[in-house]
Amino acid sequence: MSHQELLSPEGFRYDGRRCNEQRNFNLELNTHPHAADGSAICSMGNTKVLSLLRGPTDSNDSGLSLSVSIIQPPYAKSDRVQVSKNDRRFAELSLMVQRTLLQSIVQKAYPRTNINIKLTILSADGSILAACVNSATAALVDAGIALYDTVTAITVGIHDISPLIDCNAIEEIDLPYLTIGTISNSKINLLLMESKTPLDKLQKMINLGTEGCIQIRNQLDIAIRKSAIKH
Amino acid sequence: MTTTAAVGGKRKRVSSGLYVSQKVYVKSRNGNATKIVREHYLRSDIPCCSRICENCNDFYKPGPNGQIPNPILSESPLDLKSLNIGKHYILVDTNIVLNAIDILENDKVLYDVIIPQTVLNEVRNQSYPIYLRLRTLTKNEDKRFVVFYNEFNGETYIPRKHGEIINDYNDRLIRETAKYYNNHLSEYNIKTILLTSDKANKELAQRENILSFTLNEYIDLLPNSIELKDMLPSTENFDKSINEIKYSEYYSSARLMGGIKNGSLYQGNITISSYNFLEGNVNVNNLPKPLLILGRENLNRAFNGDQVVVELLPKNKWKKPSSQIIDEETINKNELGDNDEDEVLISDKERRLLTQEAIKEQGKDNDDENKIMPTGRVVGIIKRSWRLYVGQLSPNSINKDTDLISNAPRNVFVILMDKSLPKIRIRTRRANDLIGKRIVVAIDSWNSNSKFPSGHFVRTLGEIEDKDAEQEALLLEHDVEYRPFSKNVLSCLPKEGHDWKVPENLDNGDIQLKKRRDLRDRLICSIDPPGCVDIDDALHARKLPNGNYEVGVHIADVTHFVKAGTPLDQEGASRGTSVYLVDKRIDMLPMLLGTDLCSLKPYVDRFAFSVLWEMDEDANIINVEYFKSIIKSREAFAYEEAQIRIDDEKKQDDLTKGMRILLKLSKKLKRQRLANGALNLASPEVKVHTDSETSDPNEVEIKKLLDTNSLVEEFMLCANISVARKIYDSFPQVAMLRRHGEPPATNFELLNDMLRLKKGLSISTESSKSLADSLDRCIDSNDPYFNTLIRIMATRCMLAAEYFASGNFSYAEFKHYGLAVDIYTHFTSPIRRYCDIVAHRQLAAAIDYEPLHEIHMDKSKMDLVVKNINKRHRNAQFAGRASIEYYVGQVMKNNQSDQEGYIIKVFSNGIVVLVPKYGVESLIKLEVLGDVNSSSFDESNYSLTFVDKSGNKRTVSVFDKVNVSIESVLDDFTGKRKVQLYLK
Repeated sequence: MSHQELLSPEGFRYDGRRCNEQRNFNLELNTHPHAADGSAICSMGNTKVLSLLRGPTDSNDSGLSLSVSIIQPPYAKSDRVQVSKNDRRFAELSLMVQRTLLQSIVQKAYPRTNINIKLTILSADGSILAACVNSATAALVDAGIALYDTVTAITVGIHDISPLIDCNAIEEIDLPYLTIGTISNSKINLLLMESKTPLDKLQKMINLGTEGCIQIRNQLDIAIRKSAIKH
Repeated sequence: MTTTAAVGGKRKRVSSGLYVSQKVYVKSRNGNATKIVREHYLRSDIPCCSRICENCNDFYKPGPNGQIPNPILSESPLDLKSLNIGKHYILVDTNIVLNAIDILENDKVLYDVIIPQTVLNEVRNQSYPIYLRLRTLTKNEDKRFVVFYNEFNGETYIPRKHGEIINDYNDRLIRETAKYYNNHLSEYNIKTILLTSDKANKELAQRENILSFTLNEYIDLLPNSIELKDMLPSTENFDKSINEIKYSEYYSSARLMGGIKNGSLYQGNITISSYNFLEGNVNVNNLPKPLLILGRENLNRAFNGDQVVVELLPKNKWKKPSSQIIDEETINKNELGDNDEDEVLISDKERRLLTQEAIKEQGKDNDDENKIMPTGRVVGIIKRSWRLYVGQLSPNSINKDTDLISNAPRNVFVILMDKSLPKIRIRTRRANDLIGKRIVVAIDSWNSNSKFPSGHFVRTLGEIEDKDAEQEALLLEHDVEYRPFSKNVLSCLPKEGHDWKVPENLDNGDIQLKKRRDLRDRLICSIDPPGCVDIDDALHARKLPNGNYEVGVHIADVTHFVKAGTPLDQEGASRGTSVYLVDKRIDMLPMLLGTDLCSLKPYVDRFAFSVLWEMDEDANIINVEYFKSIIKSREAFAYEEAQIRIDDEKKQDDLTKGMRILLKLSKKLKRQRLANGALNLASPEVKVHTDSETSDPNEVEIKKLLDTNSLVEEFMLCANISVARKIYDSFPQVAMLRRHGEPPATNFELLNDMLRLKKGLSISTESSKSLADSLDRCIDSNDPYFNTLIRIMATRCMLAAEYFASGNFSYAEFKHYGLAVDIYTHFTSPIRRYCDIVAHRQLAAAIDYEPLHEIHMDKSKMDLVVKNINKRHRNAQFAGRASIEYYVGQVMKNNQSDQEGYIIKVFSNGIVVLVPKYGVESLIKLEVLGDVNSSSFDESNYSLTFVDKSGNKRTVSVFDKVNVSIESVLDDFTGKRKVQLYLK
């Protein structure tokens, strides 16, 4: 019973947001112009992901090989745990990010090419996968890789009957949630849910999630334009 | 886990009206400091919830349930002329809510109250039950309570200062809210008063120009202050004057936790003996038998039902459970609430009684060492079971000559209805008004220097022995929710009301309707007690062409109307069961459903959930089907009517023939069941007849059993078992089932010993079959009732049956001992039991009728449901029994008589006699029996020898048949009318 009330009857979440309000979103492109060919930092609330992209470079494989790796340094969370390099969860996450991005890259323009994305979770407070996808997309744009479209992602949790957008870590522990990623015409190309929820609530969550993705896309657009003007 | 510091950071604008700041906590666990950063969003769109304020109109946004909230605080709140306060709202601080929730709930005072979020969170952390009550208040629009999210409002949030302790910070937040409201509503001339019980906070508030009072001061300002003052929680009033006793202080929580961990202390729930209020039992996990707690000092302020921590006493203090009857009446009869002088004397008397016992114990040490039980001492209380209690003023605690004249507040005692609880000291100005009334009190505290807990008055129910007051008292005592259903709940009912009908066109596109089977051609009838309006079940049977029988049990389809997760469902789940009192029924579901739409009334179409068997001539089940259906009952019989119709040879219509088939099969089912070892137990239950016009009770009757009773019962058992198998099959983890554990052999030791000594009989407890057989053998050829008596006593040695979710036990433990079946559930009375509703939903999901709602799929949620309905079921039983007891007392008022009774328990200072005719059981104390000093108690023979009033020496022992005269007396100590027996 000592659990926090995640959504009050008056409609406020634990941190003061309403159901459909995202956390403070911030995206910056070309943060490391010397260290990488494309770089970006995406922060959603207290979650912050840095992505560094190297490429396109030559490779011996016939098609495009996109490699994504995610690392989480010990300082990302308050309890300072070392995440091993072969952590299965992060391996899975990187596979998910890789597959999501691969669909939007114009692959035929990159035969025998290598693109390498390194994602570093600078601080973790929920919605890690969504932040990774957003950050990696921005890095692709920054590096000038040809894309059909950009992918943006966000999480949606469900509290009783109310879907909550952009969950933080506390909400992710207690609620079933999904991560959804869409391209511009609201086509879903990432949908991940690891907890159980009744089928009839899923549609509600997806609806709110696609709306959230559109908002993030707008902010991504603004960030891209800003960085384009700077250079 | 302790939060040592939280420091707010800078604000950063996110969008218009939304800022974010960081809250940084430093948390230390095991000495390691960890820094935690959390986001905290501040907004400018939090409404003040006042109807008069126009600035906040745009801020009302739909909540989680999709409804847009309305401003609630009145535009013309209470206007106090005195002290120039004028119109005002009230803002409360945490301590007020925690200590005076009763007065907040009172409908005479305290309207238009603002609860800051800070207070709400603090209350939630300190006491979840009070938090729930506060939440109920905020939903109740009449009381006009609102929650103001001050920590999310940019104007009222202030970051915590470095090194500021959390209480000071919270007080500062609350004061900030008061300032905000005063500012915000200044143009409308409405002030906001801060109520606080903290002097320092009040001073600071006044320095900041906030009107601030303590609750006492505020109530004093009101016109009706006198009657309200009693309801205030007692504070320091008592402490200084009282020094009656010194209880040992509880251990610190660190020591308790450590002790439990390393095994030197034990934790458990305490049960106080109903015969002796100075004796308690704690069931401890690591010990085979409950630990005995003897005496006031060792009980150390524990209440019946508290979760306590105990330590073992040294071996030389181990004792036997007392063989005496001790209640407060005898020991503390003459205490005045204010008077401490008698105290010494009385404590002495009490001590003497205990020493007497102790000496006796030691004398017997060598004879029967095996009966010595380990004893313990309460050293800490984890969780109090305090709730509202019903009682009456102790007439002895008021000095009639002086007290009744003056109007000054004084201390009086309240004696609770529950005899295993101590009396409660309250402070009141209205003692003379309250004498002879049933009153509700709440307990505030129990200090170590006070012999009794102190509490405060909540409200009166009415005169003692007034029927309504007694009934309400009874419901409150057993924690039965009896208030009418709320608007919210009633809005879930079908809009057509009583005009709701089964759709005529069954092919109207409703997929679920299409799945129903039309059984309107079957000759279905229902058989119930006379006057029954909530008809749960109906039956039919017919012969099939292949020589077998088709037997159908049709249960009201309640879940068609009560959908999971709706307020209606939540209300049903929290009530858990309907409660049947002698002349009143407290429904689990609203009347419209229970007695009309769901009830399988005759001559109309109704939705039902059917179980259809094919049975052969020997009542073996060949095949079973489950489906939702539409039925039309042909007739609603009472048991007796049905019996007459079946017995009437002349009736040869199909309906009667069907009923004869049912009767024939039910007898075979019963035989099978008994052969498997089902127990035939007995309880001394009676039925009270009430006069139809005055509804005064006038007759008591033992419940009669007809063949048709067992006809219905057999098929219901059969349906329950079939359904249990089906839902367990589909939902092995969460199926709602009912089990009845095998009673431990030790439960029967005493009964067996008595039987062996007195009658040369024994009962075997190896299996339910052998128990059933040995019970059959317990016959006294001279006394036909003896067998029933043994059955009644054996029933009391059993464990209680309980509901459970199937994942919590292994299949072998599902067994229902009393019915001798491997799996069982309740399916057949969804109108009056919540278990059945869950079983219906699970069965509907198992047959693909509709998907199962998640709350019945989640094991932890099912555990909560199960825990609640077990509790409610028990309470409902107790309430029903208490109601019968009350009415039997009323009947006896006019019918004094002599009856035969049986002695079922012998103590060293009294005996317990059961009178079968009225189903009453009562204690006869030694004082009533005869001379106290001449008695001798032979424990090994369960007999008591004494010199009776006429000077003859007499010996009575257990199982003796005695003549008693029955009288109804009003116990002026507890105000309860009860049956008193006198030995002839």
